[in-house]
Amino acid sequence: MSAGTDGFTQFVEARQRALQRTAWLLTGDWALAEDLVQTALARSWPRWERIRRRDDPEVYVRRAMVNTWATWNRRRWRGERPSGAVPDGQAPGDMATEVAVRVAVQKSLGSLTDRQRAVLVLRVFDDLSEAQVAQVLGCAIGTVKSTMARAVARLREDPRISELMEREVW
Amino acid sequence: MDRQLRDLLDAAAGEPPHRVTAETVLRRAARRRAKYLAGAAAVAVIAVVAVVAVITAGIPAPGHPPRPSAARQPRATVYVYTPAGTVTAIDPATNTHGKPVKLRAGLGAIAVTPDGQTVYVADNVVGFRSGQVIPIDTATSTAGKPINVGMAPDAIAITPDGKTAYVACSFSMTVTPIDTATNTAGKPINVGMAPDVIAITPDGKTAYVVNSGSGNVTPIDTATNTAGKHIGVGTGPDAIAITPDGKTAYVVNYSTGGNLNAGTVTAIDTATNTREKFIHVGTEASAIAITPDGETAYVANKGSNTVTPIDTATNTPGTPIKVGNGPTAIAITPDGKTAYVVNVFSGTVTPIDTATNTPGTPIKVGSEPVAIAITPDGKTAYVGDNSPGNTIIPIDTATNTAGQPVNDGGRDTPVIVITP
Repeated sequence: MSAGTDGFTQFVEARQRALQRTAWLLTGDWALAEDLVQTALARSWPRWERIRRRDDPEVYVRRAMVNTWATWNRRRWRGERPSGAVPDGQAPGDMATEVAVRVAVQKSLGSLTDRQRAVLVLRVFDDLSEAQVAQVLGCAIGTVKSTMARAVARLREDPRISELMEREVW
Repeated sequence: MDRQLRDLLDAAAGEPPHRVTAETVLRRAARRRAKYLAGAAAVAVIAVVAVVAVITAGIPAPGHPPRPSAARQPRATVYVYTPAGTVTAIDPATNTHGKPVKLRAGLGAIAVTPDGQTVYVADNVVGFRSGQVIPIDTATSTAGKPINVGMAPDAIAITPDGKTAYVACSFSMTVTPIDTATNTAGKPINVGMAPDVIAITPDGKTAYVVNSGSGNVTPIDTATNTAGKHIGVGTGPDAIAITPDGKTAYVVNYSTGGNLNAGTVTAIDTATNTREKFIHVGTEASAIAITPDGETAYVANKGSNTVTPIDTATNTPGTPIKVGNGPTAIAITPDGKTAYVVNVFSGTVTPIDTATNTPGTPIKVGSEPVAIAITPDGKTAYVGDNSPGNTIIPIDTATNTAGQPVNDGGRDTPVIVITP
């Protein structure tokens, strides 16, 4: 093990799946998600020794990920954000329903602002506390609360989502 | 709603088609660095959250009327930088603060010129741009034009003559010299991996850059701004202090030879830039301070809840001094009589009598103190607290009692520095 990478490999192995799933909810595309996770980890690695000791690596890497994603969006490096992605890999179960869920969630998330989307994904999907989300986004806890409220309200109004919720199709 | 929504998001996310491996990430990190060094990438890095306070001499706090004449006694000012992007000046005479200077949110490091006229703030957080250093005129409390530096500027040190500020950029693995007369950046100097700390010798001839990632130290000749040969130290070195006579640099190694329970200190002879054998201290050694007479170096061992005094004449460690839980910062009064140790997990500061190396009664300061700085007159020690509603707590060093906290206007982690 080289200096400065203590636990890095283990962290990547243990967390890559969860990070990629979060990244997919942010980007709506598996290739972009993979790219985003790799970029965030590559940015964290040179400072790993410090992160491991001083910060919560999980929070740090997620912060790197969200910030990178926000930058991508600002820069429009990636052109239009894809939506309604083609299902990836083998999908067991009811393929049509799965695709419907994926497309609906993706489109609905796409209607949120970047910040609303990030707060929602981190708070609801990753189950981070409000304080952790604030730390990740570098904003106040109050901002997390109000952004979260607006994001949820917006999703609730979305007929695609409310219909899925009622049927509990998943 | 949240539960249901969570299940919905969970169902939508599905399974990633590929695994991300550490190997691909490391390859990519290497490419990123190569690209950056070639000057091709304009993308910067990340956030280490810290509140940094600097105490300067002779500067009026913002909000105060300008000094009527030079005849008035100069007084110190405490500058606090928070991740919210505010720089706040606290007047130690009244412990009140002026209107904060607002920068973009971020955090890196803060340093002040020896004449107290300019505070340099390194900002490494928002938007992954290249790092920036912002000069703040302390007389008017106005921010000057940002100076672009490398990625993730994590440390700044200014030469004793005040002419050059050296900025260590953790991700780009470079040090950028800034000419303080013109506030322009010079050519970046390549150093080791994750340079996080810098110290300059009292004669100003050498800047020692601690590379926490690669476990070595790069000496930079300040006359030519060229890097010398790396000096190997331990694993995860993260603190450095130079004796007042400039002869020895002490580097604190978090661990040694892969043994996480073996904090050590490496003494570097600054005349030859060679290291001496490891001085063994406690677990998770993380901070160091040297007495003004240069006779003793005190090392805080975060993991073993002790402070190890090192006799600098023989480089031998003394009996560890028991302090609170998680000693993480240390500062010594200008008269050298007391070392104040910040215990992050106990929320206390332990004063150590340096004549006898005995700890005094811990002083309760906050819930998560992480930094300390002492005013030049030695009367007040300012402790930065990391807990919600972040505050700076003044300790009266005559009575060792904590005063009313001063709100620094920010959130998150403090680190504190001091000017001569």
